[in-house]
Amino acid sequence: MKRLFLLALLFVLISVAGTAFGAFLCMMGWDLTVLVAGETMSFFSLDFFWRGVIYSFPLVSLLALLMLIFYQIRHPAKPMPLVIAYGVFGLLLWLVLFPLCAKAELLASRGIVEAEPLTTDLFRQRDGIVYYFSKVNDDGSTLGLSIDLYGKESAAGEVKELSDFYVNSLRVGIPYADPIIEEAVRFPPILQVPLSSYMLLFKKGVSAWDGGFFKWLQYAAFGLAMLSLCSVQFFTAWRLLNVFLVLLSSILLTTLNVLGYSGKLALQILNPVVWKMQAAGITDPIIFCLNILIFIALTIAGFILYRVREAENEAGESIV
Amino acid sequence: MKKNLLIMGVYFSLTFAICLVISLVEKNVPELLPGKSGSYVFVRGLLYFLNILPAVVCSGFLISESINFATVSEKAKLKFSPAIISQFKQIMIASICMVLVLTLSKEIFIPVLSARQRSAQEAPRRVSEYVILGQGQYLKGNYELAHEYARTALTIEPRNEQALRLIDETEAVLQRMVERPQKAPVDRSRELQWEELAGETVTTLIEKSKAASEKEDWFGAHYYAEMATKISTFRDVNVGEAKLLASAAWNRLSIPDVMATSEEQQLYLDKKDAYTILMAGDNLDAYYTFLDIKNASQLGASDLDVKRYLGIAESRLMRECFFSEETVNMKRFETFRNVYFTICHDSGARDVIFIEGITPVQETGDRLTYLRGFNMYSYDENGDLLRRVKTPYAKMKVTALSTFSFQAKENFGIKDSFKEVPTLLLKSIGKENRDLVDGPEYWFSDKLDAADRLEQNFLVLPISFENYNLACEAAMGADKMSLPSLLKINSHAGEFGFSEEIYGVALVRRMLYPLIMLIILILLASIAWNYRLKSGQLFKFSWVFLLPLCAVIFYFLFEILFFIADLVYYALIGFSGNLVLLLTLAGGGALLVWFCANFLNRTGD
Repeated sequence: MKRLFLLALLFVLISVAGTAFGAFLCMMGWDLTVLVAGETMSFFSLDFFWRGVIYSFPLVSLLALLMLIFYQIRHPAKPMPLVIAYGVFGLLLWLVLFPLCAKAELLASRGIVEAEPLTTDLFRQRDGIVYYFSKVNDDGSTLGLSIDLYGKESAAGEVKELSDFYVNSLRVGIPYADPIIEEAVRFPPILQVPLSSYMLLFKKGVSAWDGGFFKWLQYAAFGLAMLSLCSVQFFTAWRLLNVFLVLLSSILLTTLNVLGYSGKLALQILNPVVWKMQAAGITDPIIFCLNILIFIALTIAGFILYRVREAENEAGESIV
Repeated sequence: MKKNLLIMGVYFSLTFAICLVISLVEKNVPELLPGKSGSYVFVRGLLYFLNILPAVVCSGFLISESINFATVSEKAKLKFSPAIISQFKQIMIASICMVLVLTLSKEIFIPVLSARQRSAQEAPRRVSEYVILGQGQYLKGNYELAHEYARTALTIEPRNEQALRLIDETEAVLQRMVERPQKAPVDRSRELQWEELAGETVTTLIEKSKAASEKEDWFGAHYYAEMATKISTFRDVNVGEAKLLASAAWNRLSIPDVMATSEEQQLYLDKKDAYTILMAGDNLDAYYTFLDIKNASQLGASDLDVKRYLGIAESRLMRECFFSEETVNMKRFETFRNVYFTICHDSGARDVIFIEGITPVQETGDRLTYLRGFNMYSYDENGDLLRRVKTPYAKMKVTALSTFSFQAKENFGIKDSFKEVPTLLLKSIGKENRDLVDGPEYWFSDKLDAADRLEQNFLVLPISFENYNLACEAAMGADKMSLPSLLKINSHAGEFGFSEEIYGVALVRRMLYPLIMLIILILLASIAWNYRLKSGQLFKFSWVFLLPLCAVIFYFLFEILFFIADLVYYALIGFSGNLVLLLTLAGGGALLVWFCANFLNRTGD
């Protein structure tokens, strides 16, 4: 009972603190998209923070569940309290809290924050051309110059005085109000994939919730598969390696779901079955089936491996 | 400890080998000079390895410590036990060493190797550029220049056939041109120092004029007397004597002695014409006229007066312009490319500077710099363009503040706090070729008075030399600046046209990197302890194959961590401004102490 309480406390603490931190980071990220270099940054935006909570809570709470497994690996004990905590929190997340997030996302306001006009006297580089505005008028027209560093539009190194140039043309095609901020923030390209994958799953979840409870249950099969990761802690006798394996298998499972929901797991040979299942109301049959299969396979493997580890430990103790 | 080193050594070697194999298998090797692809692929593999080094180091450290702690944990029965303190000491030393290597890799090795790769990629283009330039100059008849370009191409690619051919062709032509009669022996007693008026007074110049008269060196007598009159003030009592001496010498110059040959007579007349031009102040024409005399005959080449006044004309000319030939090789040695910055005036007006390439040269103690493609746009406080000047090449010297008068400082906008300022010569001329002239192009706004529309061949930048260097570095980007420079520019970046927040974040990011890595390593030591191998448990060989996956996970975690750290730094800069570095260092220090205490708190239970 004490352990169950400890696990519950750990989960709540990580979820709350992690969501607050995640929401703060999201807010910062969105603040930067409207920030203009040289202007004072106004940090706290309730709108951005709330949206940050909606976006970060699912990820953080899933990570919190993984942390429970790590805790169990660190402090080995009978797995029942973990299984109970894991199951209860899993059900709570997938049947109550995630649907609430999806609902909140559908209802969240999307007020557009107008960015300030670009500031003068700073160099801004965009696609190999450096811009310097000596004056920015109220209508967005500018005075200043541009330097073609690598000969993209004219000779390399050619300096041109700006005429009929509007600041907004520097904002086209970038998610930031100021190219300086875009250059400085430099979202690591390697993180684009995980982020877009997460956003894909998040949006799929929201649309599943929007499509009715049955569709949501199909989507929640992903949660079921995630719950079965609990079994991975018994894969090897080295605790550190088990931690890595839990992390790795959660990444693989997420990747599999991303591939499934983006239609990259389609197999022609399975088409007749897929069509039949779709006719029965299962929208993404392949990934649904895979999630269920993974759940079953890992749960069985978990039971077996737990017995093996227990036998190994008993053997070890008897030798000692 | 030995076991740890062995595990990490094997792990590092394997990872490095994998990086090399990836670089080898990867097909997109750019066009390189012949024989360079091997080193390019090797350095690329090395760069891959260095880029993932933090992940490799951390995962290796975690794994090796996790194995190592299996044997130690039994001795640590209590918190802060001697066994754990001894482990902590070892971990601290190892962590500091690893942090040092990681920081050196990030600050030195990666930038240097990346620059090497860029240079290797650019080499074929640069060789072909120099060959084309050389061939162009050859066709124009500038054989020395053509030879220089070919030589430069060969320094990059010693076996380039076109460059070798151009060398042969230019050398053949130059050989024919150089075949001249031997020079006659010269009387060195009459040679003069060419440094004009260095430490001279009116009296000493008059004395020198008299001495020259006694030797019947009438050019010298006139020259010194003229110089004496030029530097004298109206109160100087000796000015009359100087004028008399100059007049007497000029009279003697106008009635030449009987010449031995007609060639000597012609030389004398040519010399006098050239000397007259020099005295009239047209240094450019005087230089070329004396040069023509020198090149016309062996007599002219060996004539002392020609040598002397050609030197004087050249030294005067070098205060107004420089020789184009000086810039031939400069592009190859450019230390900065595409440099842009602003110079901020007290009034709020700004000068925008853009330089395509910068080559610093150390010449007889002078700090000279050649600026390729120099552009300066001056805007008033309302942002309207007042003046524009551009020149293909400028030669920059560093001038001490003491050499400027109060009025000059006012005119050029030089502040008393500057120690040295950059002064630029904007015009270049051919050393031998009169037609080779590249001067500045000016444009002025109607807002400027006629007095302010001076089209000068020189320019004094109203910025201290120290700040000029700082601005050049800053233009390369905050991540490429040296740390001391980044510290200096912190909170002043706006004066140079760069965002203060971005340079602030870069400074914090780079200053905190070693501390963050140290914190991570100490935290990893605690994790390794928590998830260590059980006492007596054997390490299974099959586990080895899973270890590289740990490095991959760490790589992702670091990318996320450092991105999050950047966002936090932005927030902190917004809150605390320039105090951000102190705040983050204090926060990081506190975190380190906490993690150290956390590790020492471990027990084997």
